[in-house]
Amino acid sequence: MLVRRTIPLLITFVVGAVLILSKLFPVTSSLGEEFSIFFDIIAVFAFILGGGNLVKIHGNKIYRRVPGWGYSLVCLIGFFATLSIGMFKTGTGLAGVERWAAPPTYSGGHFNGIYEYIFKPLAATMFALLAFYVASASYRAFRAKNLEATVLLVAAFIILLGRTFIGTWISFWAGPESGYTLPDLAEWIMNYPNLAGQRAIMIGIALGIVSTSLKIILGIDRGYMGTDAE
Amino acid sequence: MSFYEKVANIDRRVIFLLIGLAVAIPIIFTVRFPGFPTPMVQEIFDLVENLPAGSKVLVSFDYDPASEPELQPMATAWMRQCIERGFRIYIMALWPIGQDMARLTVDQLKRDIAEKERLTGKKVPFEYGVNYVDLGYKSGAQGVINVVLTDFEKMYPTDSTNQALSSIPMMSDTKSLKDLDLIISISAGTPGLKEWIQFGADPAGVKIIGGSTAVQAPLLYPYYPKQLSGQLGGLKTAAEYEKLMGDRYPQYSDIKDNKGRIRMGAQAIAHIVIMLFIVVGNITFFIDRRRGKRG
Amino acid sequence: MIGRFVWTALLVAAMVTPVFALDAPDESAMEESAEAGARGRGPAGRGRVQHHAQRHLPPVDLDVKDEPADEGGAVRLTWKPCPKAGAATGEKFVIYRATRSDAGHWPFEKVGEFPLTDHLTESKNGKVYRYVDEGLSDEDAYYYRVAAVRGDLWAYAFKMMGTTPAVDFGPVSSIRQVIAYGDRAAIRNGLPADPPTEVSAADKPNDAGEAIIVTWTPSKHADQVPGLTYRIYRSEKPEGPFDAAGSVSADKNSYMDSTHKGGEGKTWYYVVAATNLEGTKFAVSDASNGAAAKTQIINWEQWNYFLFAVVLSVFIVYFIQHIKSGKKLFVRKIAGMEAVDEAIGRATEMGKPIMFVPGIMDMNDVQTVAAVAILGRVARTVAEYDTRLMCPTSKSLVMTTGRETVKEAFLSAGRPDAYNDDIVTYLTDEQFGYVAGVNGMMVRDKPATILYLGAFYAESLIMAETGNSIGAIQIAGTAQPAQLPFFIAACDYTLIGEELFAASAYLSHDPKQLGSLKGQDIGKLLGMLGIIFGATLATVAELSGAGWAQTALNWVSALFTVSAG
Repeated sequence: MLVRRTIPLLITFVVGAVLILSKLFPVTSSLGEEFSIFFDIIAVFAFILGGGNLVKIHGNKIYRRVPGWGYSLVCLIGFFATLSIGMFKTGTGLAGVERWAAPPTYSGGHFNGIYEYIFKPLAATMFALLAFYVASASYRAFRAKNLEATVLLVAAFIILLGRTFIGTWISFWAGPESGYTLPDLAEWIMNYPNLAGQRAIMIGIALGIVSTSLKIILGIDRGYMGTDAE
Repeated sequence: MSFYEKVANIDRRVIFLLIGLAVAIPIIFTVRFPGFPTPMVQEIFDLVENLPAGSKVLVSFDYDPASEPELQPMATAWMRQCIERGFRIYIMALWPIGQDMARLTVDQLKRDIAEKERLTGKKVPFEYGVNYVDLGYKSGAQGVINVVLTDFEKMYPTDSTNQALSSIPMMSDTKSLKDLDLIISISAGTPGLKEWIQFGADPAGVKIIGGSTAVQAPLLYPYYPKQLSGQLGGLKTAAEYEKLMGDRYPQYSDIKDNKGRIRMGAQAIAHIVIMLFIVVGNITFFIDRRRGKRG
Repeated sequence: MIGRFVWTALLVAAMVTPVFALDAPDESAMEESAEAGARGRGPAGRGRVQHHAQRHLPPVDLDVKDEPADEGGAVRLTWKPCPKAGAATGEKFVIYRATRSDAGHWPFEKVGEFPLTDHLTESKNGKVYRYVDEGLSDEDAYYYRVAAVRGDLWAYAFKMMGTTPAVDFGPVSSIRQVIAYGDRAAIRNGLPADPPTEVSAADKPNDAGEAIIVTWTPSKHADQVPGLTYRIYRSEKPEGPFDAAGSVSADKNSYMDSTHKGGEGKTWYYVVAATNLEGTKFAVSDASNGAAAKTQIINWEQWNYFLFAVVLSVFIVYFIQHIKSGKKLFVRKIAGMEAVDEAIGRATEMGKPIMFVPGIMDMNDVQTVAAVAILGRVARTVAEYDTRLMCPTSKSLVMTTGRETVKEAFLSAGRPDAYNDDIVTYLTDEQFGYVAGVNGMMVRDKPATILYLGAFYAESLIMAETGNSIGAIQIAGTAQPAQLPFFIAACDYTLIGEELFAASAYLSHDPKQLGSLKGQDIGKLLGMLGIIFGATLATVAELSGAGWAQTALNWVSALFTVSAG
């Protein structure tokens, strides 16, 4: 109980309280920075666990020939290939100490090639899926079911048109400089009704963060430890 | 199955296909629409244009390839303007991959400049250490900003090319953020423009402008105009900025130099397609409701 | 099945192949790149990432000094080859020179080029190169750049220096240091504006002895100098020599010199020079009073921050005590959280798993902490129902924390046997790689219920739409305002902002935690009152112009202004 409950709670309390108080005392003002560096260091070691977990799970799948084990094989090959190419800096033409000291992104290395020609296109592709999903989600979600939904629908149309040059083009009732075109309306919606809502949500979130932090520092919320047992 | 039922239970793959075409066709055939700069875009352009030559401008590349289509046109336009105006450019990155985005941008600009010099017959100085310096990426998000707020050299003993900062000409009178005339953060999220406002520009008393994705932009409106002098939000504003650049510097008016304007055509058509889907969705919804009432 | 894997493997192989074919540099374009002074390897035009040539390092210890015992007009450059391990030597050195003119630019011109064996002397400090540059003017400051070159690899060292100082600067006895830093006053009174006056230095309050604030009265006739810049110099002696500290534009009349950390207690003197933009014309002030950076014990700028922290904590603790004493509190129903039990039950009935996605941020984000707390509660119910739980994470620390949480939850539900380490797994730190992984798990395992709780960015809709397409019940919650619309459109229930933080308390039914919610409400109430009060005051001050209203308004805005640092 002492090791699993009391000591972690004590560490949380001390670190939290010290960081809050450090704001008040200039001598300790760099503590926040120091602690975040410590966090980075711990996170780096935790990666060994993460990487290990990845290898274990996919290795198991391949070993037990579960359906789809081929994908796990591709995953592991990719993992080890990238890891070793980055570690041994193949393609950089370096040797000895120079090789070990060079960063993985060293000029001409295969690691750069992997980044440039595999990683970048894949990440961009995943992100580009968003365009398709926005279309299918709005097809489902924007239905004029009631008054509120209708207001939302109209606002969505104004923003969609106002965010392109077509908005200015079809604003036949006003000249481009008049301040009443669709882009201007879109801007107004963003600047006033939307901004008011955003601010309210942000204030709520800020207070939520304060109270969650206090609960954690004071050891009231122990949900993140899995149980409420004293 | 009636036509109505077919529409009501439309396969999402049909939606995907139409969106794909709506995006691809305008890009392949470079569909263009006339653009009129919104007031904030004009405001930002004038702000940068009216800084005196030799001004010190920090450009922070806080995005990755995923947001490149939306943010790269802004970065390119701003860098071009800074070069043409003869500013000193300090490049930083709060995102690890931002460093590569900056490098690609600079490489592209170097190629551009040679071509533009031939076009205008005017020599455009763009030399490392003199007109621009690339400080590179450091991890620590706002922690990095906190440090450079008081001392560049403490965070960056060397630039991204391992050159001691103290030996770079343009760093000789630039010790911290406070010595700058303008900060530009082009960001796709956290850390980004918001952190630059809160931890950099505001405490340093330096003007800041920024570029955000359309999704992030609404979150930054609360800072305008007091803490943030203006932001480009999304591709449309980037395209408008390119238009202003093209009008002021005709050597950049060629459409192939204006990726934002090319992509904007795709966005416009895609928006219309999405709206058509919403309209169709609503029609089927109303038919459905009427039938429901009868049944 | 096997066929598909073969194709996938072939595809990956096809993607990897071009990477290995890329290595040969393009010889023909090297000359061009060298001429452009590009640092790096290969031409810029081939669309590949230009990484820095770390193996080829610049010369070091480049120094430029006035050539002694001559009649002026010459300087001596010295430098050493880079001593770093593994640094290859160049084939030749190229020397460039520039004078500062043209609006802050230094157009470098080549003045000399020689092979490595020339100009070399061996001293007890190792190899030193010496080069004398002659035919210079006494009036100008010069900048030098020495490049070590090998093939297409260039590495530069920079140094700035004026030549043969022969000008006497009058009252400020030694501006020589200024010249050495390139801010030379060739004609001291050439500036149409007067020097700044009343320069004073003072310790910056509320800090840890890091900064001194310099203030001055702006130059008269400053408007006659376009691009007027104030340059600030400092010295430990009032008579100099002064070192450059920084510069600000003409609209400012103060400068914070914040480079004193560690050098506390030393007294510094400042001069401020009004200069034109190029720094060629100067008007230099008298030296300021001496000031030292001191450490203050308490940072009074943060008083309002503390007031809020104390007030909020008092209310939260009060309500916790209040509820402990058996009093009842009304808590609004959160539909999304009410649905959790039902959703878990549904998954159990269907015999399908439940997926919990804790966002893509690490444990240092409060949203992730809140999410892991909810994971604990969900895991407990899951253990009771005996359903399968999947929790893919994007950060290793979230994985380890999540595991402990789930293990404890299973233990306290009396089902330690049902726990295994494969419940909480790590996929990848990379945002879109994580999305791809999670989407793959969704499509393969078809979970009946998916919970998205934590910090989400662009991946929110990509995951939620995929979840929707497999017909899962989806409950989302995040404090990323930009992602809320996407979750609302694609999920069945969405916890908006603060509801995410309230959810753990809500699920726990623990009176102590519910009390904290009430304390939070008081905070919100105070915020609302502050907004109404401030807006009213601002309106009154604007309409009536009354002094008291303005004073009160200043107080209110000071109360709500968060100071940096």
